[in-house]
Amino acid sequence: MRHGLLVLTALCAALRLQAQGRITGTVTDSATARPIAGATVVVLGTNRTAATNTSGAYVITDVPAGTRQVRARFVGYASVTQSVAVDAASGTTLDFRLVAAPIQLEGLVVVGYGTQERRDLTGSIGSVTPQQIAEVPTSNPMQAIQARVAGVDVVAGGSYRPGIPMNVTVRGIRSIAAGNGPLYVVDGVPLAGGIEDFNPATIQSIEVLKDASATAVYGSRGSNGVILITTRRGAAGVPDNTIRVSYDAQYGAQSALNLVDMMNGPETVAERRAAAEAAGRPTGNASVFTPDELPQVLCATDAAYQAAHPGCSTGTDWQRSVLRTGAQQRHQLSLTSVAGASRLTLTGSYFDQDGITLGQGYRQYSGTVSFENTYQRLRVGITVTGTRSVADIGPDAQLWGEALANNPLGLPYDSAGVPSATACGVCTLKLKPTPDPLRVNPLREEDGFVRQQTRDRLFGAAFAELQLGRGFAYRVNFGPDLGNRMDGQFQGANVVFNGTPIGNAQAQRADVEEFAYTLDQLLTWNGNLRNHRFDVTALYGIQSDNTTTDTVAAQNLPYDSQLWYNLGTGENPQPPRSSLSVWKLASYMGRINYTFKNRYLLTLTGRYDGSSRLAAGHKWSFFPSIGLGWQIGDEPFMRRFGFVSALKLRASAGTTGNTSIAPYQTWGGLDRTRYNCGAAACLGYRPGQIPNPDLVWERTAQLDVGVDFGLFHDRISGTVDGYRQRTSDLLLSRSLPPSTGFTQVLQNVGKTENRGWEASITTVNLPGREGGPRWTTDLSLTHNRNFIVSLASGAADDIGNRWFIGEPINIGTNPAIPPYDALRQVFYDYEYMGIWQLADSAVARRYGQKPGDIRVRDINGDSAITAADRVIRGNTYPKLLASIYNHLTWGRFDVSFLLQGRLGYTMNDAFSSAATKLFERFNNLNVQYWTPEKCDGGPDPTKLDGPPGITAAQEAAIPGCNSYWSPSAGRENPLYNDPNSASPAYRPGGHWRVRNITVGYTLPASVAGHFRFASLRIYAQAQDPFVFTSYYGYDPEAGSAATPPSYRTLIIGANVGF
Amino acid sequence: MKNLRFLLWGLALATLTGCVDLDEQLVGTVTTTYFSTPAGLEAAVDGDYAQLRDFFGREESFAVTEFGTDLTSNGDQGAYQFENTYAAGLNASDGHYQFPWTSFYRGINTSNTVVARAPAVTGMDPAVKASRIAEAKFLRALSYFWLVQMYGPVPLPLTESQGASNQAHRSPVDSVYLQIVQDLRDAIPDLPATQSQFGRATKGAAHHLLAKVLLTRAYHPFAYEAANTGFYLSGPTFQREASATAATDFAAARAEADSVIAGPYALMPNYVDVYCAPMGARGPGSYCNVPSNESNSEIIFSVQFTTTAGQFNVGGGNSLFVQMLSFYDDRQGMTRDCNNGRAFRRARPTLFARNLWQRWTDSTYSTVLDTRYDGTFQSVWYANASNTGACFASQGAARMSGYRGGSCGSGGLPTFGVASSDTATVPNCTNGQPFVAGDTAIFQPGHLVGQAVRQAAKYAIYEPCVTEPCPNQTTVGQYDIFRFPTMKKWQDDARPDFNNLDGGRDIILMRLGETYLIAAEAALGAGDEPGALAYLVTLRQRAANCRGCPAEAANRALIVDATHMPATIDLEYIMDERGREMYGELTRWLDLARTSLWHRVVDDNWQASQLHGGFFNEAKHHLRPIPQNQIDLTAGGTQAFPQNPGY
Repeated sequence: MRHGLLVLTALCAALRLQAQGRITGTVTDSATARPIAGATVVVLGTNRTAATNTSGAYVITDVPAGTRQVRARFVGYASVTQSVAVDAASGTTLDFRLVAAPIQLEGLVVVGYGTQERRDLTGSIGSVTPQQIAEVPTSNPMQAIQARVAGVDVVAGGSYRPGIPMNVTVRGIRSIAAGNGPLYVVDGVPLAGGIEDFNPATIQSIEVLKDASATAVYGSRGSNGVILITTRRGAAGVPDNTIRVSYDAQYGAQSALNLVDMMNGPETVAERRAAAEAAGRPTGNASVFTPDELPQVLCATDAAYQAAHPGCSTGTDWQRSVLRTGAQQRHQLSLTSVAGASRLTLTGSYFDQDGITLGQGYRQYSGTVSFENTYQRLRVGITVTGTRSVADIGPDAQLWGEALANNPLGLPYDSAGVPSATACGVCTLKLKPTPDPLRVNPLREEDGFVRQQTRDRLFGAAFAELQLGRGFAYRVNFGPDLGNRMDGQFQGANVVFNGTPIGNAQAQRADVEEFAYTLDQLLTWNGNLRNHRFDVTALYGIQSDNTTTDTVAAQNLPYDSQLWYNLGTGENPQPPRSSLSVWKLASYMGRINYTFKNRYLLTLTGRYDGSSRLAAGHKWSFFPSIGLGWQIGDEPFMRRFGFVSALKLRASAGTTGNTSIAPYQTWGGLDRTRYNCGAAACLGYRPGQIPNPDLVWERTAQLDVGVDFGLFHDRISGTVDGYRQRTSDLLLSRSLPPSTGFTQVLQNVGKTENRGWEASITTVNLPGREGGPRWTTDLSLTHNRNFIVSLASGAADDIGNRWFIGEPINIGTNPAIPPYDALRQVFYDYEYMGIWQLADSAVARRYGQKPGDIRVRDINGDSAITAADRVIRGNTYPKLLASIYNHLTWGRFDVSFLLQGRLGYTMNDAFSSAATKLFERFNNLNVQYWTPEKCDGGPDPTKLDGPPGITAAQEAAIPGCNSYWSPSAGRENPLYNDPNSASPAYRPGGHWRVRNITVGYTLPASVAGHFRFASLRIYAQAQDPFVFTSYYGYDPEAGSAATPPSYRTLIIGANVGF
Repeated sequence: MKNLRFLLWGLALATLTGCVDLDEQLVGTVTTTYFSTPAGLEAAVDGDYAQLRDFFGREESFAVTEFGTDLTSNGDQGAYQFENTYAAGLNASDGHYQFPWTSFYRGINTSNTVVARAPAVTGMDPAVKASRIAEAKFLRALSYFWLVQMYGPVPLPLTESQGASNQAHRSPVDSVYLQIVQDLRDAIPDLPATQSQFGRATKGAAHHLLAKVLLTRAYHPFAYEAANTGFYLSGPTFQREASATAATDFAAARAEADSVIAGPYALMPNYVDVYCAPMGARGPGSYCNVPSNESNSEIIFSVQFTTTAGQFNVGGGNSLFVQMLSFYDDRQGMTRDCNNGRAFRRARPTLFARNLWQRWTDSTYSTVLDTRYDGTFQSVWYANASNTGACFASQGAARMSGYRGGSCGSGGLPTFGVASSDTATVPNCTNGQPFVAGDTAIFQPGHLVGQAVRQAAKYAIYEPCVTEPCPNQTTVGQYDIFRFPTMKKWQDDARPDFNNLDGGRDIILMRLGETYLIAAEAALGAGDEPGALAYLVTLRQRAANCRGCPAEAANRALIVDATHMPATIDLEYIMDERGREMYGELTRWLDLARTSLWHRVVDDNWQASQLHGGFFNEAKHHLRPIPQNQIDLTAGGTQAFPQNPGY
C-alpha cells in the first residue's frame, strides 16, 4: 500500500516535469445562451477536471501541453467534446455550447438512487431536457413530457378544465385495479402523491425509467414505470458568496380549439317537425312549438313575421354563450446562493388561468426551498415544496351539458323588449329558457353554482449521507408528503340542480387529509479493481399512506353568501360521512452495477417487497432483475466502421410486482342500507364485497432489448428498444353474474401481455457551425400492443367483462361504475349497417323495426337481433404514438415545433351518440337525418311518391338517407344508439395535434446589459394550436362527455437573468 | 475495530427501521363477521328489507307489471315505449329487466346470509331470532316468486355467496316453486301475527303470499320443463309436493286466503281511503293527498318509504308517482306543483281500461256507482298559477256558470248547467280574465260532452276517444298520448319539491282487497263458482260505498244486481274485477302471465297488437328476457345459461 502511494507520487512528479498549460472558458446553453453552472469539464486521458461556476466559467490548470480532447457535460445536455491545442506558455480559451438533448449517448443521467454515466446504463431510460420542459406553458409537469418520450403516453385526464391532472402511462397498461400510473421520484425520494402540484419551473431534468432493470430498484411502486425528476440546485464549484437571480414571465390568451356544430334555430324547427311527423303527431306550429318558442320559429320561417320584426332572433347559440376568452399568466422568480459548503435555491412561482368556460379558473402558488450543506464526511440536504392550488370549477359539465342540450329556440333572458336578448340591462336571466322542465339556463347555473377545489400540499425530500470511507457510504432519505384537499360545492337558491330548481341554497364540503412518507436507508459501496468497477447498493425502505376523508352537507341554508362555511345554519343537515384508509409497503433491495473494461456492463437487482394490502401469507414476494450492456462501439473491431460513432447493445429481464389496490379489499365489506319499519329506523347492512384473502402480488415479467447508436459523428443518434411484458395474476375487478348477489369482485384473474417497440431518433440536420443555423429533429415512435393471454376463469373469452383472448384489456363497461377508463375500451357490439329504408319495411318489421330506424347486421341470419349478433368492433388502444420535434437556432433566434399523433385506434364517438338522439326535447348535432319524404326516391321531396320498383339500395344512396336515423318525438333513445349499444358510433380513430410552436429571440448581451440584465430572451408561443381529427366532439383526447372544450393558448413571455 | 463500526451501523439501521407492521387494522370498515353477532344479524335482516325499495320504488316495477298489458298503454314520453309495443328494444339488454334480476338476487344473498349464520349467533332471544330467520325466508320467497313469474327457470342459490364464482345454471320452475312454498311454510309458525315495527313480515303476509304462490302454481303446466329437459343441469321432476296437484293447489290457495280474511285485517269502508287521504271539498276526482295513516286496516304488507333524513338514500325514494300522469303543466292556469306531480307521461289507461268501471248509475252521469274509478284516476285540475295566462277566449261570459263543485254522491265532479247562484261552486275563470288559484283549469268528465260544451267551458276539457286507435288523434280536446286520466293512487304531494323523484309513500304489495280476489280465483279454480262470486260481491259492495251519501244503500244493492253483475262468473270476469280493484297496483302483467289470458293484450292494447303495428307475440313474450349480462358473465355463456326462447 505504502509502495503504491510512493509510485503514484513519483508518477505525478514525473508528469509535472512535462510542459503544462491552462484552459479557461465558459459553458453555456446553446438555446438560451445562459451560463450553465456546475457543468463538468474533463481533459480526456488525464485526471484534470473542473466544474463551472454560476457564470458558467471554468479554469483547468496543469494540463499537459499538446492537442487534447476536452469534454463538457451536464445533466440534461448532450456532452460535447472539442479538441484544443494546449500551449504551455499562454493559456488556452475553449468555450462550450451545450445542446439540451433527450437522447444522449454520453453524459450523466439520473437513475434510481443515484446517477450514472449514460454509457454505463443497461436499462431503458428516456429523458426530457430543461429546454423542453420550459417550452410548455403549464402548471403541470406531466404536460411538459407529453409527446417527448417514446413509450410514454400522456393524455388529458378526461376533461380540459383548467388544472386537471394528466393521465400518464408508460409502455401501455398492465393492470386495472392495481393502477397504471407511474411512480414519481423527486431528487431520489419517491413521492407519495401525484405530481400535479410540483412546479415545473424548478425542474432540471426528467428521466423516465421504462424496463425492469431500470425500475427494479423501486420495486412494486415502479412497476408501471418511474418518472425521475431532478430539481435545480445551486451547483458545485461556484465562488463563495454569490447570488444568481432569474425571472421568467409569460402571458397568454386562450380560445376554444373547436366548437361542435349543433343545430341552430331554423334547423331545430325542421327537426322538431320531422320528429312530430314520425311519431304521428300534428305538425302545425301551435302543436309542435310552445308560445315562447313561436317568435323564434316565425322569425326563422315566416317572411311576413321577419318583415314585421326586423332583427328578430331565431334562437340562441348556447355554446358561445358560456364561452369567453381565457387568459393565463405565469411568473417565476428563482434565487441561487452559495456560501461556503452550503448551497441554497429558492423558487417561487405563480400561475393563474382564467378558463375559456365561464366560472372556471385555476391558480397555483408554489414555493420551493432547496438547501444542501457538506460538513466533512456528512452531506445533508432538503428540498421542500409548498403548493396551494385553487381550482374554480363552477358548474363544469353541468354547464356544458345545458349549453349543448338546450333547445336553441329558447332565449336566455326575459326579453323585456330586447329582441335578441343577448345583452340585457333591465331584463333578468330566465330560470328555464325553454318549456322543457329538465333544461335550465346555463347562464343561471354559472351565476349561482360555485364549486371550488383547493389543494394544499407540503412535500419534499430530506437526506443525509455519510461517507464511511473505503468507498462505503450510508444514506437516509426521508420524503414526507402532507396534503389537504377541500372540495366545496355551493348551489345558490336560484340554481337548478339535477333539473330541479332547488329553491333553497345547499352546500357540501368534503375534506381529504393525506399524510404519506417514504423512508429509505441505503448502504452503498464503490470500488475499482483494475478493469473492474463495482457499484453496490443495499436498501431498506418503507412507505406509508394514511388518508382520512370527511364530508358534511346541509340543505336549506338561510342566506346565499355563505358558500360552505356556515353549514350549521342549514335547516336540513345531511348525514356526515367519513373514512380512513391506511396502507404500508416495506422493501429490501440489493443492486450490483458491475463494469468490466468500461465496455461490459452488468446490473443485478433483487428486491423483496411486502404489502399491507394483501392478506397474511401473501404479503411478501421477491422480484429479481438483470441487465446487460455491451459498448460494442468501443471494441477494436468496430474501428473499421468509421461512420459509427457510438454503439451499445442492451438487454434486460426482470420481474416487478404491483399491489396498488385499495386497502381492506381482502376482507370483504358490507354496504349500509337505509330502510324504515313504520316510524322506526331500520338501518342495516348487506353483503357488499366478497372477501378475497387469496389475493397475491400481480407480477410482470419484462424483457427488453435495446440499442443506442450514434452515426456520422452523432449527426444521427438514437435509441431503439423492443420489449415484451407478461403480467400474470392480474389484479382485476371482475364483474360477476348478478345471480351471485354481487356485481363484482377483485381477483387475480389472468395474464396479459404488452409487446412493443420504441424508437427515439435525433438528427442534427444543420450543425450550426460558425454561427450558421443549427437544426435538430427528434423523432419518437411508440408501438405497443396489449392483449390478454389467458384468464383465470379459463381459456374462454369473458364476454360480460369484454375480455377476449388476444384482444386488449377492457377497463369497465359502464362509465358510472368504477373502474372505468374511456381510453382502455374494447367494443363488442352490433355491426352498423345504416338505416332501414322504406323499400325494406317488411324486412324491418321482422326485426321489430321500421324505416328510419338503425339497422344492424344479423350475423347469424336468424331474423332476430340477439346477443349472438354482437362482434368485436375495435378498441381504443392506438397502434402508434408518434411525435416529431424540430428545433432550430440561428444566431439569436430559436424556433421549435412539436407535432404529436395518436394513430390507429377505434373510437366510440359517444359525444355524437348522445347528441343525435333526434327527439323533440334536446338539441342535436346538425346532422343529415332520415326522413320519409327525403328518402323515398320520388320527385317531390315533400310527399311519399317513390317510383315503383325503387330499391332500398337506391333509397340509401340518396344523400343523408343512410347516415342518421329518423327523428321521432317521444322516443328518447333510438334503438342501437341507446345505453346498451353504440353501434353507429364506432369509427376509425387517429389524430394529429400540433402541441407547441415557439419562436424566441435572445437579446444581445449589450442590449440586455443596458437593462442591467445578465441575459434576456423573449418568445412567443402557441400551445395546442391545432388538432386534426374526424371526431365530432370537442377533442378526441377529452373523453366523450359534455365537458369544457379544449383550448389553444397564445403566449408571449420573457426569461430574464440577473 | 472495523467490524465493531459496521456492527454499530448495522445496529443503527435495524433500530431506525424497526419492524413495519404490515397487518391491516380495520377501523372504519365493517366485514361480514359482523353478521355473526346479534346486532349484525338484526342489521342483515334490516338490510334484507332494503332490497324492496331498490325494485319496487322505481320505474322498473311499473315497467314490468303495468306496461304492455290490456289495461295500460304508452304515453308520449319515455325511452321505454317498446316495452308497451313489444318492439325490438324489449330485449335482453333492456335495463328494466336487468335491474329486478340484480336487485332480487342481491336480496336473496342477504336472506341466504341470515339463514346460514343465524343458528350460530348466540346471545339472542330465541323467539326474536326465529322471527328474524322467518322474515329472511319470507323475503327470499317473495324475491323468488317475482323472479320465477317473470323469467321462468332461474338460478336457485340457497347459500351465502362465498368467493368469486361465475357458475350459475337455471333451475326448473317446479323446484323454484317447491323452495318458495317450503320457505313460506317454514316461516309462518315463527312469524308474529302483528309486528311492533310496522312493515316487517307477519303471519298474514306469509299466508297471503303463499295463497298467491299456490294459485299461480296451480295454473302452471310445467310444460316448459317437459319440453326442454336438456336445459337444466339436473333434470326437472315436474313435481309439486308429494300428493299435491293443480286441484289441491287451488284448494290450498283458497284456504290460505281465507285464513288471512279471518285474520286481523278489515277492508277500508271506502275504497279511495286505501290510497288517499279524505279529499275534503275538492272531491275524489281531484289529486290524491298522502294519507296520514299508511298502515290502515286493509294493508297486509307494504314496502316502506319515508322522507325522514337518514332513513332513505337520495335516489332511493318511491318514484312511481311520475309514471302515469297526464300532461297538465302546459295548460293555462297550471304550473307544475307537488300535488299534481311531475308528469313523466310514460303510460296511460287503455280504452278498455277506461270503460271497465260502471262509474255512474245512469247515462246522465249524475250519480256515481263504482267509486273505484275516482279512487284510481284524477279528472280535474285546479289552477295553481294565478295570473299566468288568460282564460280561453272562446269561453262563456259569466264566471261561475257552468260548473259546480261536487258534493258527496256526485263523485265531486263538475257537472253542467248549474245556476251561478249555487253556493257550492268553486270559483271559475271569467272570460279573458286570468285564472285565479282554485279555478278549474282542466277537466276530464270521462264521457262525451261534445264540441259545443268543450268550447263553451272556460277551462280545458278533454273527452274520451271512443275507439282505439283514435281516428281523430290530432283533435284538440280528446284523450291522446299526452292527455288521459291520471293515475292518482301513487301521487305524492309531500315531496320537498315538485321535480323531486324521492317520494316517501309506501307501496302496498299485499292488501285484503287482493286477498278476496285471490280467494275468488282459487275458489273458481277449485270448481266453487258460487263461492268465488261471494268474494267479489263483498268487494263490489265496498266499491259502491260513497262515504254515507244518500245513494249508498241503494248503490250497494245496485252494483251486484243482475244488470251490473252476471249471475255466474268466469275467469275473465275475475280478471275484469281485478282490473277495477287493483288498477296500477303492480300486478297486471303477472296476472295475465298466471292465467295465460294473453289474448287480452292483443284485444285491448292496440299499440301492442300486431294488427296495429305492435309486436306482441305470446310465444316469446310470456316470459321476460334473461338479462344479457347474466348470460355473458356466466361461465359457458349461452350454452350453460340459455336465453328464454325468442330473445
